[in-house]
Formats: sequence, structure tokens, C-alpha cells
Amino acid sequence: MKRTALFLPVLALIFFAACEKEEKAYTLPAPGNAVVEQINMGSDYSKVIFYNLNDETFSIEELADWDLALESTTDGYRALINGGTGVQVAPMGDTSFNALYDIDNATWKWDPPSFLIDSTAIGEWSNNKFITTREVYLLDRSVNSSFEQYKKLQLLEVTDTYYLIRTASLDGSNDQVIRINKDPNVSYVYVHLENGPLAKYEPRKEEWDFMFTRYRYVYYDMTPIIPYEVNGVVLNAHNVSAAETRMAFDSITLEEAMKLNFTSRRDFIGFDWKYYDFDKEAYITDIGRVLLIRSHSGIYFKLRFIDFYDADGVKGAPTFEFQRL
Amino acid sequence: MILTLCFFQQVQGQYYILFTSSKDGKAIPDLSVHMTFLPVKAAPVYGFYITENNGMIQVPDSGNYLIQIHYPGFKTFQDTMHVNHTRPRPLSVRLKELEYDLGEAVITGEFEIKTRDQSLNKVRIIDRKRIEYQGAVNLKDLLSNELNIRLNTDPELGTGLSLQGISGQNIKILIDGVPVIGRTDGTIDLSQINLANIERVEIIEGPMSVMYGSDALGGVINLITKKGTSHTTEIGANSYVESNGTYNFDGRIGLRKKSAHLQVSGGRNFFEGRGIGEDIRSKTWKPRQQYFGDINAGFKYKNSLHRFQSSFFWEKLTNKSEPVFTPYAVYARDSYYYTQRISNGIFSDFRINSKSTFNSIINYSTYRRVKASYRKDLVRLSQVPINEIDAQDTAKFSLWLFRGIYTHRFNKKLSLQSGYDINLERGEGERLEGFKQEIEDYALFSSAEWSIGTRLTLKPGLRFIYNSRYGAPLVPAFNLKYDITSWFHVRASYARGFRAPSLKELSLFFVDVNHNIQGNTDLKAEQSDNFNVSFSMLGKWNGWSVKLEPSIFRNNLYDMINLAVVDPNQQLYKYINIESFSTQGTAINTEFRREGVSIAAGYAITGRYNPYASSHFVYSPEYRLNATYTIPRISVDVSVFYKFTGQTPGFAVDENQQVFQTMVQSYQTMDASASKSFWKRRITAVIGAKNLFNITNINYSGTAGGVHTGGASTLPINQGRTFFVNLRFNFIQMK
Repeated sequence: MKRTALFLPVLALIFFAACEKEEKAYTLPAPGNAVVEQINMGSDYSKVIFYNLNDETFSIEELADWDLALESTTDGYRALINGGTGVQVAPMGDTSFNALYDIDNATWKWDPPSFLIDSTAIGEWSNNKFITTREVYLLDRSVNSSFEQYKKLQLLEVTDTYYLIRTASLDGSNDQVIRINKDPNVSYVYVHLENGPLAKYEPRKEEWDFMFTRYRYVYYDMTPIIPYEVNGVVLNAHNVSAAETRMAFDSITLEEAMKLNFTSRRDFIGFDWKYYDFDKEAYITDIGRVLLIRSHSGIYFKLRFIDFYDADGVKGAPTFEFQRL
Repeated sequence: MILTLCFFQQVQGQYYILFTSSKDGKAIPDLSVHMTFLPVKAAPVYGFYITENNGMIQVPDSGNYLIQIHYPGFKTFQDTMHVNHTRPRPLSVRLKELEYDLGEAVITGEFEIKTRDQSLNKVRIIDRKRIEYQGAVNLKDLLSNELNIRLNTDPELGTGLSLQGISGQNIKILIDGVPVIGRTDGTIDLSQINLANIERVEIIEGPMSVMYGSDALGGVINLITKKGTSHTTEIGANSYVESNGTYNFDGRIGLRKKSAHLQVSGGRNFFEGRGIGEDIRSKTWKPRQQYFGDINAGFKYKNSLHRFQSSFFWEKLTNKSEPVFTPYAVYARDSYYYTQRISNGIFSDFRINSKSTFNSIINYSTYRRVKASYRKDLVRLSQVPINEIDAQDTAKFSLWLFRGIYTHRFNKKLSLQSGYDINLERGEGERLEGFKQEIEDYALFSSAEWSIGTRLTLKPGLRFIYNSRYGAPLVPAFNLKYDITSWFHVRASYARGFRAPSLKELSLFFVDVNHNIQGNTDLKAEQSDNFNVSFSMLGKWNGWSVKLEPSIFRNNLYDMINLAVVDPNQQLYKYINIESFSTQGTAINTEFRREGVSIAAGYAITGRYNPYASSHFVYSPEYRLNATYTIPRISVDVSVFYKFTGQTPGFAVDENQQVFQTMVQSYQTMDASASKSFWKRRITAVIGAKNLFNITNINYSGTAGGVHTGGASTLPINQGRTFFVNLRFNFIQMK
């Protein structure tokens, strides 16, 4: 038995040697002339990043720093809500601020994903003559907010230089009036219902082209309608427009770009330049989709997204390359 | 009964009796023998003996003895014999083997070892031979051929099962009566239950909650391990190669000296992964590496048996993704899942007297599952851990089990069994509230087996539970067996089953930007009522032993736990007792056996409750045919295993509240093998083929639309046709 049993350890060695095959390495092509940029929104998408194509600079703000964005032009009066943090509003059809309002009776509304200023959730709470409706709104900041979820809201006054809004808790406590001064250098001024107006949020109108932000997209074709928070790119409302093509990135010239139809729709670039691939278990960017951007300075750029992860494999870090035409 | 009186072996007042099998004359070790000494002018003296590995017992006095033996596989023996000390050779007693129940002993749920026909439960037994002929490496391979069992494979989570239409979270999997812990999404991955050290598998359909507590609502699968050699020395090795890239090896050493034994075994299973279709780097069937080991040591002491068992299992499952190509990088996101299970237990059996036994288990099991994800740079071939919440995860569970069962046989008609069952479970994980949770479960159970007349046997049972985290129900069960004739039996049973809310369902806290899912400490246990009626007919026809077993069943489940939106405003999901569910069905199993041939054929149809179906049930049939034939001149055993799984219709509701029909396509599988032993059975070779019809994916029709589309239209079922070779080596040295 001793001799015959000796070959058993040999057999065992053979089987224990079976192992995973070695990986093969890929070779990359030579790099081109485009500028490659990576910004980081955070894996929780808590940052908003304003990017300037002309000088390749950007500024970073916190998404949750604001509840309302108010038109900052001298004749502006409309308001956007922070859909990226889940804010929604419900008009109460009443002007009595001190009344008790029941959230179960609220019909919640959202801004359009295109950021069209004439179709907002708050709507026409004033007009171009600055006559306010004084309607009371309920504002819901979602359960994820670190502040009080439900607030009452009322526009008291708007002029060519400032807003006065009144806010309180549902039970009437924490009643306060906030003054927000307009700034002609920016498109919107921002306010947080507890922390007050922000001295600065978005850069000056001429200093950015688009922002990476979380915002709300609404699937109106579903039943029921589904509001969904997405992470994407929104154009500067001031003087910036975009077009797209599926031509090869390297072959696009200014002449080719000028033939395309440009739009100033703010969510034109949007969020679907990436999609989740269940097989790869990762967000994959659509590198075949090339954006042409007419920047705030009038200069044309071609741009495409090439990744959504940083070097540590963490999502929320869009990488894009662009080139001046 | 053949009784041969041989010579006594006289050794200073000790007398030996040898017990052998009438079929092959081999000695029977570990046989329980009740010996009552009948002296002429004194009271009888009772003695209980267990035969040594040489099949012998020794008695101190010569004289008349009443010998009683009741052992599975053998006809009951009772006789009065004269043991005379002047004879030189041991008294020889031959026990007649039973044809129908060869090797089909049942332990699960019984007061003591019984044959399958004697058991009041509806039991299925899969023995070691079938495991080897089928080339089954793990429990998933083995159960793929069973009727009323459906497997569902997730390439990442592994393979779960359903039994009688009831999902795997309600099926308890045990090894020697000890629960296997570590459920992923409620199920045990059957690919991790290795069969290298398993002697047989017992499957009981219908609730076994009186005996085994929670999670046994749908049934129990108990794996019985090899308990150690009956020889002085035994060395064995097993190698298995399959054409899908499987390379397995395991070995064991067993030692025995007098009444003590030691067995050490271990092995490695390696599967290199298999892709179906175009995927290359990412395999549909994920690569796995498993290491496992067991130590089993036992001894007899007077009228008791004690055994220490330690088991270790470790697995690495590799989930590589396809490369992501960008103009400036090529990378992939790979995840590795490491599973570790360790179990240490002490098993003791005490024969208190001729009527009473006490069995106890003390066991400590741990389970740990680590997920580690990396971003791999496929240009530099380097990798870094991904620093995201879901990318790295560790879950740990541990279980202390204290179990004791006292059995008392009042007489031939009445036996009583009472026991305690203490389970102390602890869990740790980032998804659990406070990251740590505990559950303590204390139970007392009792059942009686009462024979009325010569035909009727009743077995009522009851379990009382105290649980530290949820309200546990009272659990009754009732079994009945009626012997219409000696060859025609009917069994009926009612049992209540329950499944305790898991630690996850009680204590989950998964709240972030996108999720608000919380556990619910007010959960009740899921409960069920199970009704089962089965018939068993045995007969002989033209030299064949024939068995026919039709049966019907119905399960009603209620208070089922599921995730539901409890607060739409907050998008808050909680586990609540919300659903009810039923299954019903019928099956017929037949067996035909004669020398060198065995055939098992069966048909089953199972209905699952669906509120949208016209009859409220959707039915799906199954057929099975297994056959083994021994070619006499060359002593080769040829086996075929065939199963047809019928299409499974269903109905569901999409996000628009529209009912749509789903359909999972039917499919069939067939495995075949040939087995031969060489060199006095020291080497056994099995060659075979699996999945001869080359089934890979089956069609699934009917998916709902939604924000995230991407529902599969095919389901991966199998890896395609494969071939295997299994070589087993067994060297025995017996003094």
C-alpha cells in the first residue's frame, strides 16, 4: 500500500496547481491634442461644478446650499426649486400665511427638466409689473434633508433690486422674512430658507459655460409620472448653445460644426451621455456622442465624455476631452 | 433467518457473539444489540451492546440470552439462544437483509434510525452511489435531477432552490442536524455545499418546524456526513475533472482503534469559469475556488457514543467585468466574494437503558462573506480598491446551537420524544442597524409516536418557542401512517411551519441619497399550514421489486414578509407582513429493482398561487427518469439521469398597473455515466457526460417597462454539454 499510495500526493499536487489564467494587457493609442479634464461631483453627487471652456477653470459649490434660485435680472421675478435635492412645492390657493395647512392635501409640483423659466413649479407668483399673488406655497425638501422637511413660503415683494420672501414652519414657528438682493452679474441668486441668501453661488454670467449638477428629470410618459433625480450637464442660460453629432471626434472642424443646428435648451447635453451597463456593472459613457458648444464668448468647442469614474474607481467623476475649433 | 452455531472463543470467562449479514457474510459493525441474560434461579439481567468493527460483542456469562436487534436494512431479529462457554468459536448470528430498503436508513426527524418505509414522514433519500454516478460535486448538481425541486441560479449570488413551489428561504439545510448558516438574500448558495464528505442526503417535504424550528416551513434537506472508517486504517482520495474547467481533488485518512476513530479529510475544488456567448473576460458562470476540510473524531464509552466534528469551508468567487474602453484608459471593475464557514460541534448519544436514549448537539458555527471590488487598469495590470459604499462589504453571522432530545420507548406501541433547542444568533454588517444584531431563540418540543393496533401509527407533535426579537407562534404537527396491508401504506400529515424574520428584515438600516429601506422590529413570523397525503405500494412482479408512491400536497402561507412602500412621501420602504401564498400539487414516483438494475421514474405537477390567473394557480409539470444497469460480464455500472421541466407560466403587474403574462420555457436535461472498479475496488473510475442536450439559456418572455429597463429575455440555466472523469482511490488496511 505504501508504494501505491505515494502517487496520491503527486496527483494532489497536479490538481492543486490548477489556477486562474493570467490577464492580458491592452495597448493604448497615442494621445491627441484635446484637453482632457476630470471633475469630481463626489460619489454622492453633492457638488455642483461650473466649468469655463475658455480658460479651463471651474468652481465648486455644494448642491444642498440652496432651496430656491431667483431670477437676478432687473425685470426678473421667477423662481426655480432645487430639484437635485428633491425639493418640490405645492401651491395652496390661499394667501393666509398664518393658516394651518395639511401636507396630505398638497398637490406637489416640479420644475421642468429643461429649466424653462416660464414653466416652473412655483409658476407666476408675480408678474412683469411686480404685482405678487401672495399665494402661500408648501415646500418639501424631502426626508433626506438635514433641515426641517416642510416649510411654508410666500413672496411678499419683488423689485428690480431685491426679493422679500416669508417663510415659516408648518406650525407657524420660525417665522421670518428674508431679503435677497439681485446681482446683475449673474443669472440667478440663491437662497436657503434657514441660512438666508448666498453671497455667491454661480459664477458671473460671462465666466462659465455649463455646470455639472444633480437635477430632477420627469418621465411624463409613464403612468404614474415618475420624477427622477439625475446627474448631468446643464448649459449656462446666458449666451451658450450646443449641438451634437456622431461624426468622429478627430475629424470635426469648425466648418462642419457651423452646419449643425444649435439650441440654447439648457438640458440639451443632459444626463444620457452615460448609461448603466448591467453586464459591466458600471456607467459607460457614450464616446460616440460629440457635443459642439458655442461658449459664452462666442468661441466654438467640440467636446465628448470619456469616463465617469476616477482613478480609484469611484463614480461621480466625469472625464471629458474638448478642443477649440 | 439463518442461525449458525459455531465454536466459542473461550477467554477467561468472556464469550463472543459474531453478527454478520446473510447476503455477503460480512461483519456488521456499530450494531445495537439488546441482550437480556436469563439465569435459571435469578432475575433477568438486561445489557445493551454495540458491536465492534469486527462485528463482535462479548458477554461475561454463559447461559441463555434473549437477543433483540432492530436495525435499518435488516429484518428485525429476536430469539433466545444458549451461549455455552465450552465452544471455541464465537456464536454466529446472521441477519437477513431487506430487499426494498437496502441502505435506505432515515435519521432526519426520527426518534431513532428507521427505514424509509417505517418513517411517518415523506422522505427522499439520495445515497452515496447516486452522488458518484451523477458526478455531483455539490448540492446544486445533485438536486438538479429531483422532482418538485427547482433551482434558480444567479451567477453572482449562487444557486437557490424551491421545494413544492416554496422558495429557498423557507427550506432548512442541515449537516448532521446542524443548520447551515449564512444566507444571501434569504437563500443558501447550494454550490457551496460540497458533497465530498457526504454519505447521503435526506429530503423531507413539508414543514419540519416542530423538530427544527424556523426556516423549515417548506421542508428540510439534511446531509449526513461520513462518520469514520470501520477499518484500522483507510486512506482515500478522489479526483474529478470536467471539461468546463473543473479540477477537484479531495483526500481523507481514517484511523480506528477499538472503539475510537479519527478521520481527517480535505480538498480543493477549482472551476475556471465559463462564458456563454461573446463575453470573454466576464464569465456568465463565475470562476470559483473552494478549500474545505473536516476532522471527525469519536469514541464509545460504555453505553454512549461521542463525536467531535470540525468543518471548514472557504470560497473565492471571481466576478470580472468586461473592459471599459476610453481613449486614454482601458479598465474593468472586478469584484471578489470570499465566503468562509467554520463549524465545530460535539455530538453525543447516550443509551440510558433499553428504553431511553438522549442525544445532544453543541455546535458553534460562523459565517463570513466579504465583498472586495477593485478598479483594474488593464494597461498597467494594476488594481486599486474602489472606495464606494457598495463596493466593499463584510457580513458576519455566528450561531450557537444547543440541542437535546430525550426519547423514551414505553413499549412497542408508544414512544415519546422531548427536546430543547437553543439558537443564539449574532449578525454584523454595515446594513444592519447599529451594525450588530442578535436573536435568541429558546424552544421546547415534544412528539409522540403511538401505534394503535397493528396498522395505525399516529405522531402528534408540538413546539413552544420564546424568541427575543419577534412573536413566535405555537407550532403543531400531526402525522399518520396506516398500513392497509403489509405492502400498502398510506401517510397523511398536517404541520404548521414558520419562518422567523431574519436579522436583515428586523434590523436593516439602508438609508442614503437613493435608498430609504428599513427593517421592522414589529414583524411577525411567516406561517404556513401544510397538508400532505401519500400512498406507498410495494410489490414483486416477474422478479422485479416494484414501488409505487402517489402523493398530493397543499401549502398555505400567510403573513409573508416583503418590502413595501409604507410612506410614499418619504419613499420609505419597510419589511412588513403583507402577503399570502399557496402551492398545491401532485406527484407519482415509481421504482423498479432487480439484481443489477434499478429504475426510478416520476411525474410531478406543482401549482403556485397567482391572483391574476383564472384559476388562481399556475401549474408547471416535471418528469424524471433515472436508471442504473450493471453490465454483468465486465462489471460496469451504467447510469442515466433525465429530467424534463415544463414551462412555467405566470402573471405580473407592471408599473402602469397592467397585468402581463410571463413564461419561462420548458427544458430537459440528461446526464449519463459509466462506473467500474478495479484492483479489488481500490480504484473506481466514473466517466460521464452532463447536460447531453446542451441546454444553456432558456427563453423568458414578458418583461415590464420602467425607468431602468434591461430585463433579460433569456435565463442562464446550464453551462452546456460537459464531460467528466472521476477517479476514486480507497486503500484499506485492516488488522
